[in-house]
Amino acid sequence: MMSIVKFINVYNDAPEVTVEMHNYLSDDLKTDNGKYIAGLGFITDNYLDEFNAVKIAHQKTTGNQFRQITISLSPAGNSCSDEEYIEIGLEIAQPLYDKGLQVLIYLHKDTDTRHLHIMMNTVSFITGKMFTQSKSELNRFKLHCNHVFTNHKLDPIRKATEAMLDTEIHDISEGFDFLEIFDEIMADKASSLSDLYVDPSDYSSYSCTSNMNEYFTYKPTQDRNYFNLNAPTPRINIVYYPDGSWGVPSTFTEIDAWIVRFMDTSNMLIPPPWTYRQTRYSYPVSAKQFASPTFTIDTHLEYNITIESEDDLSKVIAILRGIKPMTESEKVFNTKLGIATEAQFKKLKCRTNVNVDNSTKVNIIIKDTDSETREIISIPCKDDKNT
Amino acid sequence: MADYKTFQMKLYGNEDEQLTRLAETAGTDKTAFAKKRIFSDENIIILDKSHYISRSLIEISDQLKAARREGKLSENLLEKNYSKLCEISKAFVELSKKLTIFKSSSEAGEY
Repeated sequence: MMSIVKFINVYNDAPEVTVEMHNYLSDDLKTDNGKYIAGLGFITDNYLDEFNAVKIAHQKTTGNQFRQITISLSPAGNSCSDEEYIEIGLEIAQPLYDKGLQVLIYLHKDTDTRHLHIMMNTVSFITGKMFTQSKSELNRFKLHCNHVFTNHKLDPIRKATEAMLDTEIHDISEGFDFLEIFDEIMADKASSLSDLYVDPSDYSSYSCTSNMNEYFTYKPTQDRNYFNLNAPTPRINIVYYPDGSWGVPSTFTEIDAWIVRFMDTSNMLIPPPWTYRQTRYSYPVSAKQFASPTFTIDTHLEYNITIESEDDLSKVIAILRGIKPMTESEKVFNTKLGIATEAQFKKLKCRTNVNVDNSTKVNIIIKDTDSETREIISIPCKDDKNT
Repeated sequence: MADYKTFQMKLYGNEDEQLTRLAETAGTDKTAFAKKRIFSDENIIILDKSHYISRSLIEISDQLKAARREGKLSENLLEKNYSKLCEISKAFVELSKKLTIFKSSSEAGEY
């Protein structure tokens, strides 16, 4: 998943196009009654007149009147407020303004994904020259944008520099949808499922040993056998064994099976216990799930600590010390998974909301001597959170 | 290729200097200025150093905004200055609408 910055080509030789463009971009519904519009190089809020005054002062009233840039910030792990969005827009626009180009920033809040539009004057109030941009300058601008995104803990632009330029010249008689780059945003979200997948053959460190007949035990960090290294382990069951050792048995949930449906598994190496449970791949997503307005991905982190008797409770403390709640990167990963799943649903023409459970929970299961579960104590972690 | 013909004009004495100065004042080139003068029935209205005024107004505005951010000037003083600046800017914008526009084709430059 990535942030997108795109220069949209608009046929705009006539000053009237500037007016129409500004009217569209500053629409009250989109910008919360004009609350989320900011400018660089303007003295009053009479933006268009000041825009034109610069052109007239430099006798550069013809040719392209403005350039338009659409910015879609990566939604994964994005906790930016509306004000921060505007701040990001201003930071991105700063090098353009340094060249003397007046810049208007609009935050649009009327679509699924909040996004920014930048409309800039093509005439520099410093030099009077028309805006031009070489490939190396565009490359530098991309680098600048990525610095801004990184500073705000957002995914950078991952596409090639050339992809920041729209090759088609649009006319506003087509409407304004071309400014919103809906397809590009959707394609980015949908592609994330495959981005998140890493062939398990890459995991040279994978190991699995059988400790007891009914358990496979291996370290929690090696439980991630089909996603990338940053992926969280959806659920961890910790078992405390009579010999004093403790381990994590295999887990494979229905949602795993569901996600695998969207992946190319033809070349996938299937290590144990994958083989053991591979029949679960064929689990179809039920019609009920598709019909449901909400689809929940259960990626919550759950530690089930099983002990034989209350006498072992003191040993649990040692285990608890080693347990960490879900990390921020894991939460971001889960959120990406949710966004990608939502995009996949849309691709399948299903209008389904997707919820991702990013909570962390610890269960202590005490068994009696007859091996029957007697008591379960659930301890939610402080930062339990549903996304 | 645009369809056009060229025409040479003999200038004597300081005529060339005068034309050059007028064109510069208008923020255009000698050809555009001469053509407008010859073919337009409208009066020519030029604001000398208009590009300088435009730039200066924006730069003063930026300076005031920076002063506000850094708390260098009192709010009262800033308000007064900014209010005056807005007045000048509005007057400049209105005036710019009346200025003669000389060029009829784009001339893209480079930074």
